Amino acid sequence: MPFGPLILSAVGLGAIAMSWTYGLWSFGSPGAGLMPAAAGALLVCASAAEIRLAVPRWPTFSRRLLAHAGALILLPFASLGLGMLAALAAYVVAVLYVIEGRRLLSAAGIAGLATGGCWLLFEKLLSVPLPKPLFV
Amino acid sequence: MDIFANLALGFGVVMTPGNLLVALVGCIVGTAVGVLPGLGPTATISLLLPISVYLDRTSSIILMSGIYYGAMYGGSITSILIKIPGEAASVVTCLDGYQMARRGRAGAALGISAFASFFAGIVATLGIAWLGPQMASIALLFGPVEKASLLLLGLVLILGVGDGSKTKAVAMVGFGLLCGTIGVDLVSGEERFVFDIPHLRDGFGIAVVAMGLFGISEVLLLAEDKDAANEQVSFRPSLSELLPNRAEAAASAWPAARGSVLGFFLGLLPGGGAMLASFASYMMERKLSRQPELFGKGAVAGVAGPEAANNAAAQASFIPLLCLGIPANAVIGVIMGALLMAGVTPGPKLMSDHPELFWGVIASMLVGNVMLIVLNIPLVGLFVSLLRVPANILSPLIVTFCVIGAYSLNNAMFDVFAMIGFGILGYGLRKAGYDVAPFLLAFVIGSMFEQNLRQGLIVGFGDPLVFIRSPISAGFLAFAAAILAVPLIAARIGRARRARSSEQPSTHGQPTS
Repeated sequence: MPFGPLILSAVGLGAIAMSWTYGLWSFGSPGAGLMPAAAGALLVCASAAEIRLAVPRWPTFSRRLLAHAGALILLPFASLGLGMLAALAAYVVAVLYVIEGRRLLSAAGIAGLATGGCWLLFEKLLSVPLPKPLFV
Repeated sequence: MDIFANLALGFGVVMTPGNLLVALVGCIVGTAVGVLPGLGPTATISLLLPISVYLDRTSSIILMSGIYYGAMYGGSITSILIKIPGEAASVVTCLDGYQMARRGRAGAALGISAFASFFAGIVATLGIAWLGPQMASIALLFGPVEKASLLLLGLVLILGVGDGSKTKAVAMVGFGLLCGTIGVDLVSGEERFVFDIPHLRDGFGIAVVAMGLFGISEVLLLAEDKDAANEQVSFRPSLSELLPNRAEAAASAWPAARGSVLGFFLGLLPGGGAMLASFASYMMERKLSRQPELFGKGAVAGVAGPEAANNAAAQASFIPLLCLGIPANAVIGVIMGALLMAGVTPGPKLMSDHPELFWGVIASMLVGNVMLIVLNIPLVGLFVSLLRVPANILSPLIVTFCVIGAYSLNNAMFDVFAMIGFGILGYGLRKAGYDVAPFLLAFVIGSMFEQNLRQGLIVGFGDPLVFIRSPISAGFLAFAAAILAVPLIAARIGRARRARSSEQPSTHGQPTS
């Protein structure tokens, strides 16, 4: 199945349906729904043409990619609990030590340098209030 | 007073140790801001507004303008090296700059970018000094009707960006336009695709979408390929090898010149000048090129033209502010705020009431551009050495900077979630053979287009013919129609010719009676 064009067509159809409720034309001028409806129609038409042309194939994902994607998805949730800098340090160590197989000391060193630099630049110099750990 | 006397007055103001130091600080901070994804010049200049109170008003504007065009320089560095646009105007540089870097010409791409920006900066500054006041009136010719048509032309041109199929590009334009409509509709106040999520009311930020689609998706693509992740650039080239060679310099000269002129004129238009200029320059170079198939694969003109255009536009956007008191974009709006705080009202009388400020800022642009090239060229080697870090180490570091950059935009975790979401979306689209560049460009241009289209229709009392009655608008629409129609007509003529030529041999081969 050509998943890409099918999903995009579904997104386009959903957008058109929702745009209808916003109103396409009101008081002699375009309504809030006109632009999303036009964009959705463009997406549906182009994706429908692509379904016809696409070569059906099943998507495959390597374990390495899934591990990276999993770490990436967990990162913002961890930031909410551990605080952003600790979560980023944990992420860098997890990626370098667990997924990439580097030595723990080297992974921890890189994580320390990266998060230390970020702390100095963003929190100290630019006064960005980075999320703090919940337990502090 | 003639232009030289005016510039001499400006140089007299800038060439004091204090103002030179301020210009240098502005250039350094601007370059750093451009390099860091997320934190843009608008936020930085806003943060510096309180400092401007302690500075002389000319010095504060010199500092802020230095940050602005410094950011245009710096934005290209991460675009070229790691495909993360530091600035919206640097998105187009990702397309060919990153490909040049992958072919081992990262230094050349950075050098071309720096020289093209420098050249454009000089051209734009001289343009401001020479033509500025007259050109300012051109900006007034562009109302919502003309801008809507210009942006529609931009949307049509986007179809030529990227190297995927045309139907896929159309789908990406549609998807980008759709994502650009998320949030509160500015005309009716209606919430669109918000799903009761308060953060979605403002829509997605350009930086969030760009970092996700380009940066995070690249990290995922690298994660997929173990060999690529362990890849490391092992060469240690000299500075002369890092800089553009003769052929690359020659190939970049005309694109930089054209980009400078185009950027200068587009920079005069309110809203998105630098972004629109870099994109328009890219499309123009692609159309003019004898080898358009090289675009997206590391074409020198694809770096030189857009880089020149975005820098020229950034500087030209000062003209409507200084000559008419109209801020052309958000950054210029903040600078206007600083002027007002200093008791200076920008407008037609600025040049006569405060000539030292007007010409001082213009002269500071010349000085600032020299400073930027002197700062940036020796650092090319240092920037390129970043590529010697193996990709599997670089990837988590890219994520670290993107996450903090996304968070720092609004100090909201929502932006981090959104960026990662766009990263996964970008990965999926790229795996399915879709180019994400048309998506991002349509996302940026779409919201401006919709706003101007609807304002134009309000101006025309709902009559769509208002877009044809304006000669400028009609010109843009005719150009857009020609771009769409000419390839179709040419393909049809080609098919007819091929059909005729395939029929001819059989006719000749028939026996005559």
